[in-house]
Amino acid sequence: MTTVLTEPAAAPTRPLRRRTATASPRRRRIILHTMQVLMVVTALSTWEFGTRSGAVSSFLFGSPSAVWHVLQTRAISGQLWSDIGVTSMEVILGFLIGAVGGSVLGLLLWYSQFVADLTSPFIAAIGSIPVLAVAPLTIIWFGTEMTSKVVIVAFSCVVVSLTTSYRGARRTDPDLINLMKSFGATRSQIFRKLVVPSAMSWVVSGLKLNIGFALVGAIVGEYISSDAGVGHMILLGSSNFTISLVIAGIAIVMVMVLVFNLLVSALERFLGHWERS
Amino acid sequence: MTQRLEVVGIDKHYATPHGVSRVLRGLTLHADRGEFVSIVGPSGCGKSTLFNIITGLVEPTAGSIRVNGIDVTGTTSEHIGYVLQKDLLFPWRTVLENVILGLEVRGTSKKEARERARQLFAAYKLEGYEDNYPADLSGGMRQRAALMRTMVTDPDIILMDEAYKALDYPLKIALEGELLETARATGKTVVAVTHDIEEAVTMSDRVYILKAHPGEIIDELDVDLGTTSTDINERRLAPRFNEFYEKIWRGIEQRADVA
Repeated sequence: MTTVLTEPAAAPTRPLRRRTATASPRRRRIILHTMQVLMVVTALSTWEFGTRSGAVSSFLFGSPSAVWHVLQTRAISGQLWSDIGVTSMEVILGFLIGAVGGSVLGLLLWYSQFVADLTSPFIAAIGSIPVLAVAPLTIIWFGTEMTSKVVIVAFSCVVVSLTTSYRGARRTDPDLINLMKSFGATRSQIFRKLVVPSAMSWVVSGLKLNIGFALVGAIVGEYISSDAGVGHMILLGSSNFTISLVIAGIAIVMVMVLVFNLLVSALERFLGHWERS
Repeated sequence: MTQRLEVVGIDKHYATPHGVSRVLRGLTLHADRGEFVSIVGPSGCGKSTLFNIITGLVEPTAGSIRVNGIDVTGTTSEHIGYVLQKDLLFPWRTVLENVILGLEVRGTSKKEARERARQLFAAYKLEGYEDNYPADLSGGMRQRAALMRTMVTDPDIILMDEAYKALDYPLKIALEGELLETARATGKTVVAVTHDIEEAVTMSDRVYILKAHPGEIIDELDVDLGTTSTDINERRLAPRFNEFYEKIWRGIEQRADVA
């Protein structure tokens, strides 16, 4: 008799507890995103109200509305787009030469262990040079125009891409190489049909790492000498103490990194389509 | 008459910091058309080295490999195909693209290669999976695809190295049966390197028994189970199965005691 009485009392509590403990992945994602948006909104509004009330110096810290205003006026005047255009062009060209070129070179090093061993200390030495240290030199050699920035961007990408893609190429499964050999494959067939595709995930991870380095390279180049670009915009803002302009520039850099990341991620998905078909 | 495969007086030494390590000594064996030959031995008998020497991926210290009477020592031969325990499928290629890899490398046009490969899919129970990626396939299907990749190049000799070791028992038996049937139907020579005595007895017409350190042939045995069936279970239940199993087992064990 007692068991009959206790059962209905215990039953409703169990499903309730389970529901709170494990939210569905979709629910969890929605909660996460909502909270993230709330955090940004809170930070921005605290900042805005802080500067309006005078608790935070708007001269030193700008304000979200002032940053927005700067972005708006520069967008209307077209200045914003030309700055973004110049920096994007430097990043894209430099990235293509440095990161893509470096990846190709790294893969090609697979052909010769001798050349790879011969050049490895020099590659490491070049890789150890901070981009900031060579930037003035490239301005002297290549002028203050876009070329010098493209060179700086390429320089900051090349070694990382070269070493990651070489490492990827070297990691090719020797059993797969033997299989190709057993079919009588030439070295160039092994390279094209096996080494390159199997190293692709390494190449892409090198490219991903380099997005950040490329942007740093372009901004550093523009800091040293420039008359346009997002780095120029930031420099201009800080030398005039127009903090909102500086912060607007930083925001644009963040957006640019985001966009480039999305592009490389799309490339990664395209190349790795076989992983999750 | 020349044999399909002749392995003559193979020695293999490796230089190590402690002197010369002798892996294989005076290995001589052969396999004829339509024959299923197993090479059985304990670990350390140099099976994989022998395998790589026959495929031409490793050069022997002495001796020669002849295929259809032609010396192919140290070079890969288009008459030899192999299947390993690892299926070695390229994950970025579809099953069909994997199957035609060998043809592609040898310069067959893609169109012709695809046509030749497509005809095999039904026989290997992979119809409908042509455009899937290996990641979508089960272990057994992947091994079938790997065997197809070898068979489509039409080699005279198929070398197997523990190809079905990683598969579960019913699947292993099914694939072994399929292999026997294919080999019989096409007159292929199969040379299997294994330490699985049961498999060797079930599948082989002839078995070579190796000892280790250095790898040397200590016995050669004709296996006649008295049945022509390709059904593995039927072969395994043949009256003489145990007799051959014991002979090989004792052959290996005896030597292990001495060593």
